[in-house]
Amino acid sequence: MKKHWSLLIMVSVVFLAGCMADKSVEENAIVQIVGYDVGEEERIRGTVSIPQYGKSEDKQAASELYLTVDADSTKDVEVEIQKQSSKPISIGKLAVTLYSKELAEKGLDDNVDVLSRDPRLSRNMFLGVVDGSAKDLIESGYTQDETTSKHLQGLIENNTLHNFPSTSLHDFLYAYYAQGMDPFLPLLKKRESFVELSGLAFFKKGLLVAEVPDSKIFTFKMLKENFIKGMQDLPFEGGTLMLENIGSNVDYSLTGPLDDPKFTIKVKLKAEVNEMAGVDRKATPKLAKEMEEKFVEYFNKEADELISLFKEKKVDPLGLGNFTKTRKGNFDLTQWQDNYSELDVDVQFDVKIIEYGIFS
Amino acid sequence: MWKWKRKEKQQPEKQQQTKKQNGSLSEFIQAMQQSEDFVHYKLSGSTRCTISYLKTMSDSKILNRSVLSILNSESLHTLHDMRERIPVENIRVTSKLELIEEKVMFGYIMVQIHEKDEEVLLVPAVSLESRDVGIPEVEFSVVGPKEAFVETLNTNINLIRKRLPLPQLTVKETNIGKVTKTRVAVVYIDGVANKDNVETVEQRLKGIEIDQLTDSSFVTQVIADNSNSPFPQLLDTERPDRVVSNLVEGKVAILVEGSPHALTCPTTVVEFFGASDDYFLPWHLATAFRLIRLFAVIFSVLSTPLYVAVLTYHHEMIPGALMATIVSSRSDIPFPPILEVIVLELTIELLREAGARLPTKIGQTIGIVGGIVIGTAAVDAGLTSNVLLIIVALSALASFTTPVYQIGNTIRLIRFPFIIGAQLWGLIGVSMCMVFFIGHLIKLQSIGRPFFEPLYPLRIKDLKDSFIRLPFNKQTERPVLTRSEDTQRMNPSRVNAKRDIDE
Repeated sequence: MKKHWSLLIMVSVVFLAGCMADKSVEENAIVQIVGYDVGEEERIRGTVSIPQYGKSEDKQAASELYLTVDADSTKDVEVEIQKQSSKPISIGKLAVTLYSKELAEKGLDDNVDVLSRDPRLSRNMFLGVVDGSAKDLIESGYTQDETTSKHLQGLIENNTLHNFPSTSLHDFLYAYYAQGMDPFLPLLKKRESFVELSGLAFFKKGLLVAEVPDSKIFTFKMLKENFIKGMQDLPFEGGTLMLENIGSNVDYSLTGPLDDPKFTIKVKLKAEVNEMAGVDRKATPKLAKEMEEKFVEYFNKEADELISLFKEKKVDPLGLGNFTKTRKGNFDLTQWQDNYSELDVDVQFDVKIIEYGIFS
Repeated sequence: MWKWKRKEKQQPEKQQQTKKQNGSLSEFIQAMQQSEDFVHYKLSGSTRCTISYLKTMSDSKILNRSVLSILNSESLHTLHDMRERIPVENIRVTSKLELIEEKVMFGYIMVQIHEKDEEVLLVPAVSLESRDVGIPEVEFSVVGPKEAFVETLNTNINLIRKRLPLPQLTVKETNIGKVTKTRVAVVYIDGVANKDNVETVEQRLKGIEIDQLTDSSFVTQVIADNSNSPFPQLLDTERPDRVVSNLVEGKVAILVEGSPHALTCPTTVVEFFGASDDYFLPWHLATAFRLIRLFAVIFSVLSTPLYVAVLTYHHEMIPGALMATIVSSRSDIPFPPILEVIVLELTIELLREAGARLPTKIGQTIGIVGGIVIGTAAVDAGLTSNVLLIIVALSALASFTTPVYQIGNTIRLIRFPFIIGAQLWGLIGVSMCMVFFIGHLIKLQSIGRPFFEPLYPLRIKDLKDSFIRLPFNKQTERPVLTRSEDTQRMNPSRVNAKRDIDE
């Protein structure tokens, strides 16, 4: 009898496998980029691009099919798009999700919830906020041999290796769900024929509350994480200096009791100056010393500006609250948030110019 | 109801058989005279006697020079006199019919004083046709000894003994096979091999009930711990040097008359992926090649199932850079990935079978026809994608890297359940098959010793010569697997002693 049952289970498992929808890759519409805008009457307008891979002869040319639908919810976008597609939609390969600034200012909480719970989605996916319409940004092809998703993915990925802090879905969700930490996303802007990363958008939970332009991102990244290979130009004696980061190290320390905490953020920057435009002086160790002092002053000013902006908007992208929570046992989030705007944060920069290039 | 009837039928047969054995010598001679090559005549020279022998099995030189010349020139009246006079070693006088039958069938010359006598003289004059010792063809190695076993048991034992001049090297023989009565030898080093292992082997060999034993692979199949397993549980090799090194490790070897392969046991699955080349190269190179071989086997088994699983169910696993290549090469194909894979895999199997059955020279043509013509034609005709063609060709190539032919066959067939699992349940199906096979391997035994050994049960000491091969000075102990009675191979302190040049 027992044998009968196991046989029955085996047979049914084999035969039921036939009920499974199995479509090979080429029979699926593989969505790699999706953008959300505010639609009419409180609805969401979703835009996807589906790459159309040619037959073996012309595999180089990347053509894309753009579909735009109005839907009631994020998941409804998938349903509506299915109505327009001849092939089943496969979202497992989704690499970039874009939100228009307008939508982000209304709040992304519902959307983030969907992203965080769908197991098919990659945590390495990039999120971004579009200054303008996400639909327009997706629908204008940029290069002949790359799909839009690949282009934008490369754009964000490449920049996180330089001036931009890393912003994947994983990082976003970590900051989103952590206590005393707020997420941020890159801000993209469409120019005439290209897209550029124009800054960072800071969120209070799912709500976009502040932005900084790309000129301040270098300073922000130094405060946020250790990094190498960034570039920043600075005004110096009427000219401009180009500074290349060859290793910066950030260290947070917390002193004082919980009701009156005092933060010290120490940043050690090793740098290389590789351009002096409009500065008519000879490169000497003395000049380097002067430059270092000037840089410290400049970065201090920038950092203070950033932190006062954060305090004003009550966002904490640096995760100071989270840092305190891990150090102090009786951390109270509401009390922390109330006191956040009066928080004492002291930023200390230590800049060392260790290279000037070759000179005789 | 039918059982007792059958029993009744069997009984008279048994009686007949025993009767035959108990029959008299004259009946045996009568039976033999039906064959044309049995010679039986009376000698009427100075010694009067009857001589009978099989002319196809006996050496006529011994008969003419040593036996007939003595019998004709001298007058001998008893068998014992003859035994003393005939200059051939190991002459016997016996009246045991069983022994007589066996020896005559092997080519001994039988001498009787009178035709009706039960007592006979047996003169060994065996002439065995055999091949010369050649170079190994299945387990070829570029460096190292190039002798391979042949079909004669004595030659094979000679090949082993000359490498192991030890009084402790023990050779025990039995005859197996109701009809063929094949000589089977169990070889081991006394005091090194574990007694239990030797006893297990001897006991299992004794228990074999089979009519014919034409090759050593019969023994592998019959005495295997699990005869239903696709994995061979005795290592078969045609290299005497490999057998010797196994014997020194404390293993037991089985040699079968008529088979150019020796079996060694207990063995582990890892041993099947080790080539004798590994010991002829520096240890780091050998380790690298072993790891490559291991990777090749895993690749060979898993590459096409993964292709099926990923293309059918897990599109997100395809790397972005490969997406365009795979999709555009697949877009012309009318079949789902599973059919595509099965068609190509079967094609490769066909090519292999055809190549193996044909003579070497035509075999090469088959490879060219199959590899180039069929492959490119299939891609051009849009029956298979060129990505898959590469994968299948590589996995076929990878399965040839196994140094032991038997496990190569297993690897070849094992991937089909994986492919079916991949189609039914995607990666879960592949993992289910994997779990099943690993579970099976863990349960498997080789003459009572664990087959999956250095991994399960985990024996760190034996890992020194499994996936990696450490230098000889690190291998001072015999493998734990063999449970050797003398665990120490050499003295570690003397191995590692610093040898400075004498000043």
